[in-house]
Amino acid sequence: MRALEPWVESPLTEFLAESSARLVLLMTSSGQVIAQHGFTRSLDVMSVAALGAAIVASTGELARVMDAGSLGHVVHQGKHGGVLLAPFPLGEKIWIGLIVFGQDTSLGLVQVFFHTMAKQIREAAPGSRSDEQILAEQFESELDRSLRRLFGR
Amino acid sequence: MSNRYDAVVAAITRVGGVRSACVVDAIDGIVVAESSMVGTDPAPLAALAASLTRKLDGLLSVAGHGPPRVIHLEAELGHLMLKPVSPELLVVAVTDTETNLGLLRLALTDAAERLE
Repeated sequence: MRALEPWVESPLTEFLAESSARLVLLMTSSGQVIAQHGFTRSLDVMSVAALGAAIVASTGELARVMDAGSLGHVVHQGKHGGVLLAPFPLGEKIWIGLIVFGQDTSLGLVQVFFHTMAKQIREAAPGSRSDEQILAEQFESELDRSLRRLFGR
Repeated sequence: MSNRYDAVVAAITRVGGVRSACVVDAIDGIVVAESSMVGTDPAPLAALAASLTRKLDGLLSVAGHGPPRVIHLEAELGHLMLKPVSPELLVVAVTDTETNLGLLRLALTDAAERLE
Protein backbone atom coordinates (compact mmCIF):
# COMPACT_ATOMS: atom_id res chain seq x y z
CA MET A 1 0.00 0.00 0.00
CA ARG A 2 1.25 3.48 -0.84
CA ALA A 3 -0.31 6.79 0.12
CA LEU A 4 0.45 10.41 -0.66
CA GLU A 5 -1.13 11.53 2.58
CA PRO A 6 0.24 9.77 5.69
CA TRP A 7 -3.00 10.25 7.65
CA VAL A 8 -4.79 8.04 5.10
CA GLU A 9 -2.51 5.05 5.74
CA SER A 10 -3.94 3.83 9.03
CA PRO A 11 -7.64 3.84 7.98
CA LEU A 12 -6.72 2.26 4.64
CA THR A 13 -4.60 -0.46 6.27
CA GLU A 14 -7.48 -1.30 8.58
CA PHE A 15 -9.92 -1.35 5.67
CA LEU A 16 -7.70 -3.71 3.69
CA ALA A 17 -7.39 -6.09 6.64
CA GLU A 18 -11.11 -6.12 7.38
CA SER A 19 -12.60 -6.12 3.90
CA SER A 20 -10.16 -8.45 2.07
CA ALA A 21 -10.30 -6.11 -0.92
CA ARG A 22 -7.82 -6.93 -3.69
CA LEU A 23 -7.26 -3.52 -5.23
CA VAL A 24 -7.98 -0.12 -3.74
CA LEU A 25 -7.61 3.33 -5.18
CA LEU A 26 -8.42 6.48 -3.25
CA MET A 27 -8.68 9.56 -5.40
CA THR A 28 -10.19 13.00 -5.60
CA SER A 29 -13.18 13.66 -7.83
CA SER A 30 -10.77 15.09 -10.42
CA GLY A 31 -8.90 11.77 -10.58
CA GLN A 32 -5.84 12.72 -8.54
CA VAL A 33 -4.65 9.57 -6.80
CA ILE A 34 -4.27 9.81 -3.01
CA ALA A 35 -3.48 6.18 -2.18
CA GLN A 36 -3.38 2.81 -3.84
CA HIS A 37 -3.07 -0.82 -2.90
CA GLY A 38 -2.51 -3.77 -5.21
CA PHE A 39 -1.65 -1.98 -8.44
CA THR A 40 1.78 -2.77 -9.85
CA ARG A 41 1.91 -0.42 -12.84
CA SER A 42 1.51 3.32 -12.77
CA LEU A 43 -0.24 3.17 -16.15
CA ASP A 44 -2.99 1.04 -14.63
CA VAL A 45 -3.46 3.49 -11.77
CA MET A 46 -3.66 6.41 -14.16
CA SER A 47 -6.25 4.72 -16.37
CA VAL A 48 -8.33 3.36 -13.52
CA ALA A 49 -8.34 6.71 -11.69
CA ALA A 50 -9.41 8.57 -14.80
CA LEU A 51 -12.13 6.05 -15.64
CA GLY A 52 -13.36 5.82 -12.05
CA ALA A 53 -13.62 9.59 -11.66
CA ALA A 54 -15.38 9.80 -15.03
CA ILE A 55 -17.92 7.13 -14.06
CA VAL A 56 -18.71 8.89 -10.77
CA ALA A 57 -19.02 12.22 -12.60
CA SER A 58 -21.36 10.76 -15.23
CA THR A 59 -23.43 8.98 -12.59
CA GLY A 60 -23.76 12.24 -10.67
CA GLU A 61 -24.82 14.05 -13.81
CA LEU A 62 -27.32 11.29 -14.61
CA ALA A 63 -28.78 11.69 -11.12
CA ARG A 64 -29.01 15.45 -11.64
CA VAL A 65 -30.78 15.07 -15.00
CA MET A 66 -33.22 12.54 -13.49
CA ASP A 67 -33.71 14.82 -10.49
CA ALA A 68 -32.80 11.81 -8.34
CA GLY A 69 -30.58 13.56 -5.84
CA SER A 70 -27.50 11.41 -5.32
CA LEU A 71 -27.16 7.90 -6.72
CA GLY A 72 -24.58 6.96 -4.11
CA HIS A 73 -22.34 3.99 -4.75
CA VAL A 74 -21.80 2.40 -8.14
CA VAL A 75 -21.36 -1.36 -8.11
CA HIS A 76 -20.31 -3.60 -10.97
CA GLN A 77 -20.82 -7.20 -9.98
CA GLY A 78 -19.13 -9.92 -11.98
CA LYS A 79 -19.02 -13.69 -11.76
CA HIS A 80 -15.73 -13.77 -9.85
CA GLY A 81 -15.99 -10.53 -7.90
CA GLY A 82 -16.97 -6.94 -8.19
CA VAL A 83 -15.99 -3.30 -8.31
CA LEU A 84 -17.31 -0.69 -5.91
CA LEU A 85 -17.03 2.98 -6.78
CA ALA A 86 -17.90 4.97 -3.70
CA PRO A 87 -17.76 8.76 -3.50
CA PHE A 88 -17.66 10.30 -0.03
CA PRO A 89 -17.46 13.88 1.23
CA LEU A 90 -14.26 15.18 2.75
CA GLY A 91 -14.66 18.77 3.81
CA GLU A 92 -16.00 20.58 0.80
CA LYS A 93 -14.44 18.06 -1.57
CA ILE A 94 -15.58 14.68 -2.79
CA TRP A 95 -13.15 11.79 -2.63
CA ILE A 96 -13.73 8.51 -4.40
CA GLY A 97 -12.85 4.99 -3.35
CA LEU A 98 -12.49 2.38 -6.04
CA ILE A 99 -12.40 -1.12 -4.62
CA VAL A 100 -11.98 -4.37 -6.50
CA PHE A 101 -12.98 -7.41 -4.48
CA GLY A 102 -13.17 -11.15 -5.06
CA GLN A 103 -15.27 -14.04 -3.85
CA ASP A 104 -13.44 -14.25 -0.53
CA THR A 105 -15.45 -11.25 0.68
CA SER A 106 -18.80 -9.67 -0.19
CA LEU A 107 -20.21 -6.37 -1.37
CA GLY A 108 -21.89 -5.88 2.01
CA LEU A 109 -18.65 -6.34 3.96
CA VAL A 110 -16.73 -4.05 1.61
CA GLN A 111 -19.42 -1.36 1.94
CA VAL A 112 -19.60 -1.62 5.73
CA PHE A 113 -15.84 -1.31 6.18
CA PHE A 114 -15.64 1.39 3.51
CA HIS A 115 -18.08 3.53 5.52
CA THR A 116 -15.86 3.03 8.57
CA MET A 117 -12.74 3.99 6.60
CA ALA A 118 -14.40 7.10 5.15
CA LYS A 119 -15.39 8.19 8.66
CA GLN A 120 -11.85 7.62 9.96
CA ILE A 121 -10.37 9.55 7.04
CA ARG A 122 -12.73 12.47 7.70
CA GLU A 123 -11.68 12.47 11.35
CA ALA A 124 -7.97 12.27 10.49
CA ALA A 125 -8.00 14.85 7.69
CA PRO A 126 -6.06 17.99 8.57
CA GLY A 127 -8.40 19.98 6.31
CA SER A 128 -6.02 22.38 4.67
CA ARG A 129 -4.18 19.94 2.39
CA SER A 130 -7.30 18.04 1.34
CA ASP A 131 -8.91 21.32 0.37
CA GLU A 132 -6.03 22.30 -1.92
CA GLN A 133 -7.25 23.40 -5.31
CA ILE A 134 -5.68 21.61 -8.25
CA LEU A 135 -5.68 23.87 -11.24
CA ALA A 136 -6.18 22.39 -14.67
CA GLU A 137 -2.73 23.50 -15.85
CA GLN A 138 -1.14 21.85 -12.82
CA PHE A 139 -3.08 18.64 -13.18
CA GLU A 140 -0.64 16.66 -15.33
CA SER A 141 2.45 17.58 -13.34
CA GLU A 142 0.52 16.90 -10.14
CA LEU A 143 -0.52 13.51 -11.50
CA ASP A 144 3.06 12.62 -12.49
CA ARG A 145 4.31 13.67 -9.07
CA SER A 146 1.62 11.58 -7.38
CA LEU A 147 2.38 8.50 -9.47
CA ARG A 148 6.11 8.78 -8.81
CA ARG A 149 5.46 8.91 -5.08
CA LEU A 150 2.88 6.10 -5.22
CA PHE A 151 5.24 3.77 -7.06
CA GLY A 152 8.46 4.92 -5.46
CA ARG A 153 10.02 6.03 -8.74
CA MET B 1 -42.08 -8.19 -4.73
CA SER B 2 -40.58 -6.77 -1.56
CA ASN B 3 -43.90 -7.27 0.30
CA ARG B 4 -43.19 -10.98 0.50
CA TYR B 5 -39.91 -10.30 2.25
CA ASP B 6 -41.38 -7.56 4.42
CA ALA B 7 -44.15 -9.94 5.56
CA VAL B 8 -41.56 -12.55 6.53
CA VAL B 9 -39.56 -9.99 8.51
CA ALA B 10 -42.72 -8.70 10.22
CA ALA B 11 -43.63 -12.24 11.31
CA ILE B 12 -40.22 -12.70 12.95
CA THR B 13 -40.40 -9.39 14.81
CA ARG B 14 -43.71 -10.49 16.36
CA VAL B 15 -41.73 -12.95 18.51
CA GLY B 16 -41.12 -11.24 21.85
CA GLY B 17 -37.65 -9.82 22.43
CA VAL B 18 -36.62 -9.62 18.76
CA ARG B 19 -34.67 -6.39 18.25
CA SER B 20 -33.84 -6.84 14.59
CA ALA B 21 -34.89 -9.19 11.79
CA CYS B 22 -33.42 -9.23 8.31
CA VAL B 23 -33.61 -11.13 5.07
CA VAL B 24 -30.09 -11.02 3.68
CA ASP B 25 -28.55 -11.67 0.28
CA ALA B 26 -26.11 -14.35 1.44
CA ILE B 27 -23.71 -13.89 -1.46
CA ASP B 28 -23.40 -10.11 -1.43
CA GLY B 29 -24.08 -9.66 2.28
CA ILE B 30 -26.61 -6.91 1.73
CA VAL B 31 -30.06 -6.33 3.22
CA VAL B 32 -33.07 -7.50 1.21
CA ALA B 33 -35.67 -6.59 3.85
CA GLU B 34 -35.37 -5.61 7.49
CA SER B 35 -37.13 -4.37 10.56
CA SER B 36 -34.93 -3.09 13.35
CA MET B 37 -35.29 -1.16 16.57
CA VAL B 38 -33.68 2.27 16.68
CA GLY B 39 -29.93 1.97 17.18
CA THR B 40 -29.48 -1.27 15.27
CA ASP B 41 -27.82 -0.79 11.90
CA PRO B 42 -28.93 -3.62 9.58
CA ALA B 43 -26.15 -3.14 6.98
CA PRO B 44 -23.23 -4.38 9.14
CA LEU B 45 -25.49 -7.05 10.60
CA ALA B 46 -26.30 -8.37 7.12
CA ALA B 47 -22.70 -8.21 5.90
CA LEU B 48 -21.21 -9.92 8.94
CA ALA B 49 -24.02 -12.50 9.19
CA ALA B 50 -23.46 -13.54 5.57
CA SER B 51 -19.71 -13.73 6.14
CA LEU B 52 -20.14 -15.77 9.33
CA THR B 53 -22.54 -18.17 7.62
CA ARG B 54 -20.11 -18.67 4.75
CA LYS B 55 -17.26 -19.43 7.15
CA LEU B 56 -19.35 -21.79 9.30
CA ASP B 57 -20.55 -23.50 6.13
CA GLY B 58 -16.90 -24.18 5.30
CA LEU B 59 -16.20 -25.39 8.83
CA LEU B 60 -19.16 -27.79 8.82
CA SER B 61 -18.15 -29.02 5.41
CA VAL B 62 -14.67 -29.84 6.73
CA ALA B 63 -16.33 -31.63 9.67
CA GLY B 64 -18.40 -33.61 7.19
CA HIS B 65 -21.72 -32.34 8.55
CA GLY B 66 -23.08 -30.62 5.45
CA PRO B 67 -24.44 -27.07 5.35
CA PRO B 68 -25.82 -25.44 8.53
CA ARG B 69 -29.60 -25.54 9.11
CA VAL B 70 -29.68 -23.04 11.94
CA ILE B 71 -26.85 -21.04 13.53
CA HIS B 72 -27.42 -19.84 17.09
CA LEU B 73 -25.00 -17.61 18.98
CA GLU B 74 -25.62 -16.82 22.63
CA ALA B 75 -23.98 -13.71 24.01
CA GLU B 76 -24.05 -11.85 27.28
CA LEU B 77 -26.75 -9.42 26.18
CA GLY B 78 -28.75 -11.52 23.75
CA HIS B 79 -28.93 -14.05 20.98
CA LEU B 80 -28.27 -14.12 17.26
CA MET B 81 -30.05 -16.73 15.20
CA LEU B 82 -29.38 -17.30 11.48
CA LYS B 83 -31.38 -19.54 9.18
CA PRO B 84 -29.97 -20.18 5.68
CA VAL B 85 -32.85 -20.40 3.19
CA SER B 86 -30.78 -21.15 0.11
CA PRO B 87 -27.23 -20.46 -1.04
CA GLU B 88 -28.47 -16.97 -1.96
CA LEU B 89 -30.70 -16.09 0.98
CA LEU B 90 -30.42 -15.96 4.75
CA VAL B 91 -32.81 -14.94 7.56
CA VAL B 92 -31.29 -13.25 10.61
CA ALA B 93 -32.77 -12.39 14.01
CA VAL B 94 -31.17 -10.45 16.86
CA THR B 95 -32.86 -10.78 20.23
CA ASP B 96 -32.50 -9.87 23.88
CA THR B 97 -31.84 -12.49 26.56
CA GLU B 98 -35.53 -13.05 27.37
CA THR B 99 -36.65 -14.34 23.97
CA ASN B 100 -38.34 -17.71 23.70
CA LEU B 101 -35.71 -19.40 21.54
CA GLY B 102 -37.95 -22.30 20.54
CA LEU B 103 -40.57 -19.90 19.24
CA LEU B 104 -37.91 -17.90 17.44
CA ARG B 105 -36.52 -21.02 15.78
CA LEU B 106 -40.01 -21.96 14.59
CA ALA B 107 -40.51 -18.42 13.25
CA LEU B 108 -37.24 -18.59 11.31
CA THR B 109 -38.07 -22.04 9.93
CA ASP B 110 -41.49 -20.77 8.86
CA ALA B 111 -39.85 -17.72 7.28
CA ALA B 112 -37.43 -19.94 5.35
CA GLU B 113 -40.28 -22.11 4.05
CA ARG B 114 -42.16 -19.03 2.86
CA LEU B 115 -39.09 -17.77 1.03
CA GLU B 116 -38.08 -21.06 -0.62
